[in-house]
Amino acid sequence: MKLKNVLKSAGVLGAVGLGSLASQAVADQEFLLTITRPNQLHVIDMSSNTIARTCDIPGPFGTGSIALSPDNTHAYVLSNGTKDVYGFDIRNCDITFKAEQSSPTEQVISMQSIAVSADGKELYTVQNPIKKLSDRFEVEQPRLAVFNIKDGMDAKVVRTFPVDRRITKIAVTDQNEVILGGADLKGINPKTGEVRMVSKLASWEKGPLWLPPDAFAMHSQGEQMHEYIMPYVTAKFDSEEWNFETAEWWWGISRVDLKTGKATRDEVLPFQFIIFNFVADPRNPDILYGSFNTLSKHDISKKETLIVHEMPHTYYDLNISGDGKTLYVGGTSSDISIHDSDTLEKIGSIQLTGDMSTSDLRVATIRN
Amino acid sequence: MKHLKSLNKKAQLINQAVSPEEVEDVVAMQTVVGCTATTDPGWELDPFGGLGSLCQPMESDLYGCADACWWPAQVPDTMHTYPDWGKDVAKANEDWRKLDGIFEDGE
Repeated sequence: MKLKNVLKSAGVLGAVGLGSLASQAVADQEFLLTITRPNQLHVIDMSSNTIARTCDIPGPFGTGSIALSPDNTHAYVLSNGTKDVYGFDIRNCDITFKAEQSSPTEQVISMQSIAVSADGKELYTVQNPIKKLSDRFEVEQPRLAVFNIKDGMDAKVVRTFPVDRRITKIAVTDQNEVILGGADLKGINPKTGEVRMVSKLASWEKGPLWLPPDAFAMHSQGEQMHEYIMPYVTAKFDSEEWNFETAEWWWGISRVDLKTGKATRDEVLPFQFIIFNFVADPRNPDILYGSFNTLSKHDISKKETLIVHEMPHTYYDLNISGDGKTLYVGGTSSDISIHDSDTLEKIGSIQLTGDMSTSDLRVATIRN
Repeated sequence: MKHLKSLNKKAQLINQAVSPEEVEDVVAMQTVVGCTATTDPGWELDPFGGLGSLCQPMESDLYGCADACWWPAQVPDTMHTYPDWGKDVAKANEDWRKLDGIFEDGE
C-alpha cells in the first residue's frame, strides 16, 4: 500500500506530525470489515475507529459473510440472498470478481460458506443446489465449488466435489485444505475432492453419559490467531437416565490451527449463559472473549469465566486488534461497540448506516 | 386413492409417491441453522426456560432471524419468500414501525 493511500484511508493527514507519519509508513494497517443493510461493505480503519470507505454491494443483502484474500487486500462477500459472490479491492472499493451461482433451472444458496485458497488464486463456496423443475423442486447433493479468481467478473465454476449437507462456515489451512464446518468438522482437498475427518462432533464417541453436542457455525473470526473455532454446547449426565436438571452443562470448542490443519476439541467452560461467538486473545490462546447479551472474558486453561460485562443489546460476533488490547463487538444492529480487553469496559463506538444482521466482523491486516 | 383416477402427469406422480416403495428418502435440512438447535435463543423461551437469554431487544435480532432464514415461522424469510420485507428499513431499531406483518391474503 502506498503512503498516499495509507494517509488517505486513515483520514488523519492534518492531525499527525512528521514523526508519526514515518512510523505509519512502515506500520501494518488493520481494517475492520463488516456488511450492513441495505448491502454495503464497510472498511473501518482500526487506528482511528472511523469508516475509511463504504463499498456498495450489488443486489440485495446476503447474510454478510466475508472471506479475505491471503494478503488481505481483497474481500469476497455473499450477496443476493447468498446466491452471488462479489470480490472487492478494499483499498478503493473496485469490484474485481463476480460469480452468479444460480441459473434459471437451479437455485444455489451458500450458507455463509466462502473462503479463498492459501495462494489467493481460487475461491471456494459450498453450494446447496435445488433443481427447479416445472412441477417441483428437487434437492440436489451439496458440493464444494471452485472458482478461479483471475476469471474476474464472469467467473464460472471450474471444479466441484460432493460434500455433506448442513455445512456453513468454511476456512482454508496453509496446506490448502478446506475446513468444512457442519455436523462434524471435516476437511476436503479442493484438488482431488478427498475428504477426511478433522474433528468429530455429531458422531463423537464420548459414551452414553454425554449429550450429543449442539454446535454453532455461523461465524468464525480467527484472523489474528489464524484459527477456526466452532463453539458447541453439551451436557454430562450423572446416569443414563439423562436427568437434565442435575447434568453438568459445558461450553466446548472445536478449534483448528489453520497453520497446520491440526484440531483440538474440548469442553472449556461451564455453560452459564449464551455466547454466540468466541475470539482468542492473540497474546494468549487460553484467553477467549465471547459475545451475545454479554461480553465475557474466559481463561480456558482454568475453565473459568474472568469477567462478564452486560451489553445494552445483543451482539452476535466480535473480533480483536492484533495487539490484543481492543475488542470490537458487532453483528445485529448498526453499532460496533469497542471495549478494553483488560477490563471489558466500553471505550468507544462506531455507528454504521444500517443493521449488520448476521454479518461477519473480519480484521484485514495489510502489511507494508 | 384407489377410487381416483389420475388424469395428468402430475397426478400420476402423486399416485406413484403414495406407494411406499416409491417414497424417496427424507433428506436432512440443508444447513445447521434453523429452529432445531436446542440452545439457540428462540422467540418464546431461552434454553434455561426464561427470557433473559433471548436476543434483546427483539429489533436487534429481526434481520438476523430473517436474512439467514433462521426463524421463518416468527420472522418473514427474506432469503426466499419475502425478499423485500425490510427493503426500505436499514435500521430495525429506528424504523421498526415500517416492518409490517405478513398477511397471506394481502390485507
